[in-house]
Amino acid sequence: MKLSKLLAISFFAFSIIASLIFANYSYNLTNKQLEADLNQQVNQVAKTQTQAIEVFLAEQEKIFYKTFDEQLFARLLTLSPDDEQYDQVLKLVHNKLDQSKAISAGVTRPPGIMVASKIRTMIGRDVSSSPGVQKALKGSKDLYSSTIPEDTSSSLLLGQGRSIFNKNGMVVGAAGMQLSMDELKEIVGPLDQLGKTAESYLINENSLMITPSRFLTGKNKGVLTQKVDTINSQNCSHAIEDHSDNIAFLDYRGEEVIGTHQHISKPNWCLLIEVNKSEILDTLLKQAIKGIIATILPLIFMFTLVGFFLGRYFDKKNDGRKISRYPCGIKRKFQPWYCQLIGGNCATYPNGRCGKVIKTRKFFINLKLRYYFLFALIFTMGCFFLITSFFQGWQNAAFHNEISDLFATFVLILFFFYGFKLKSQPAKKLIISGSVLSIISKLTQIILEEYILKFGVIPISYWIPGTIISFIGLFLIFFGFKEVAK
Amino acid sequence: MIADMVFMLFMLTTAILILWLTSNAMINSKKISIFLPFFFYGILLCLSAAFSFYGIVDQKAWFAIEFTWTLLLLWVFINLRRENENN
Repeated sequence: MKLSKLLAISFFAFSIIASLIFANYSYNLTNKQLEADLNQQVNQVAKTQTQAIEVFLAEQEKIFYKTFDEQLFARLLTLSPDDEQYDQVLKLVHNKLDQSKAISAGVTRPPGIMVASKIRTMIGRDVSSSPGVQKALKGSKDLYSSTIPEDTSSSLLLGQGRSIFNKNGMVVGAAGMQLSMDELKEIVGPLDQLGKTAESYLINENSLMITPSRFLTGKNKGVLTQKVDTINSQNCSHAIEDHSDNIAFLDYRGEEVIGTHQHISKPNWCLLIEVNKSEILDTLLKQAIKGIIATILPLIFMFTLVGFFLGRYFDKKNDGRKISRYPCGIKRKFQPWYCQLIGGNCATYPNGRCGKVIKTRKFFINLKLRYYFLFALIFTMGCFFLITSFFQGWQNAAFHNEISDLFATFVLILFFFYGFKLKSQPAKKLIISGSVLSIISKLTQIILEEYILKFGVIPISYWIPGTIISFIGLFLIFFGFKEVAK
Repeated sequence: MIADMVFMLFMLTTAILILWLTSNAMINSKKISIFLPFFFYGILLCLSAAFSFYGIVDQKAWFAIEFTWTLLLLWVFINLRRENENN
């Protein structure tokens, strides 16, 4: 083989290995960077939207208190419809209610009889079954808020209510309002700036969606029908306020997403922001492919060319002599060590003279057993570091599963090397091929275990090809062994 | 489910084949001890098939089985060396 060819192949192989390591390193780096950027963006959006929701709720509270005249309402509730002043006070109350921006507003007497309402047809109706009225009549000075489905459309209304106290501090009734929540739909919803699958939505205290989903179809789009019982919603309900890392989990559709949450204490809502993990991975993959095409492929090409021309230069310089004769000087330098390594007769390689070139096959045959162990150990550890670097790194490897596979690989490499030493030719072929197949199957197993650790459980069918290879390898080793034991 | 069955049956067939071949080799060569690791290998494969059949996916159990496989392989390697040097 000419040096130009050898160097071109060597440079090509070297650049491929270097590129793989570089691509993997760059992929991990981009992954971390993308996740960090996304974390920042998601948290930022969550904060902005929470603020907007709180502003919206504060505005609704203002609307309520602008209409809520406790003295006037209490006066109406303490009067009997037969009293002379009743009609006059009722007119004043209706004036107040009519001025309100709310869709509907009313005053109820215990146990829930409507005495005044913006919608006059409601007067005299029993609304005691409404949970909002029940809560508002409990005698709290805090404003109670809840979500109510609107009768005429699929949208929701924000219900607000409060107890009315007389001068003596006794509960005489309750005032309630229903306000539009349409403005909330403009605050939360699809988040195209974060991705095609990014969305934010609100859930109430019962974990029911109260703003439409980006993905659900139908009239309601999940509003008050879709229960959200995810890690994100649970963390929000338990008021876990650590937003340093956005967690990956399955969302209400069963898709793996990355997301965060913000708790809105009044009226006990949760804002959830989620984006599909696959979308982030797709972006990452596209970036990686672009990176490979733009940088790695030209580099491999260039390296190969450099190797080829360097080789050509040496070829010409040495008059086209073959490589087997060419590196005599180098070989002579390494021969004492090489000779010792294989346990040969060192006297046959005197200094200053180029000895006989030892072929690779003979190198394996003559190699001492302790070097088999060394090679096997280096190869096994090398494979472990290389495979794990494509997943979560050696620090986060699936040690429990892989340690036995690595040990098996180590033993099988010993089989492979020792195969060269076997005296029986059929046994040699069988043991070498059997060990190669078994090594392949073990390495495949390590790759699958790493994959499971990173991405989750895979179907059992994925294990079948590796197992078949492993069993073929076992049979070959068995027949090889049988040949030796004859 | 089908994949589970295929996997289990495949293991069981291999186990039976290994046990059959090993027994034959033991009888024909009259060397029982050197083929013992293969015999144990077959028994372990039967166990694995049973584990797979009952859906036992406990990591510790699989770890123990795989580790034992490797130890048996090492035993085979030692026997191989001895036989190669003796013959």
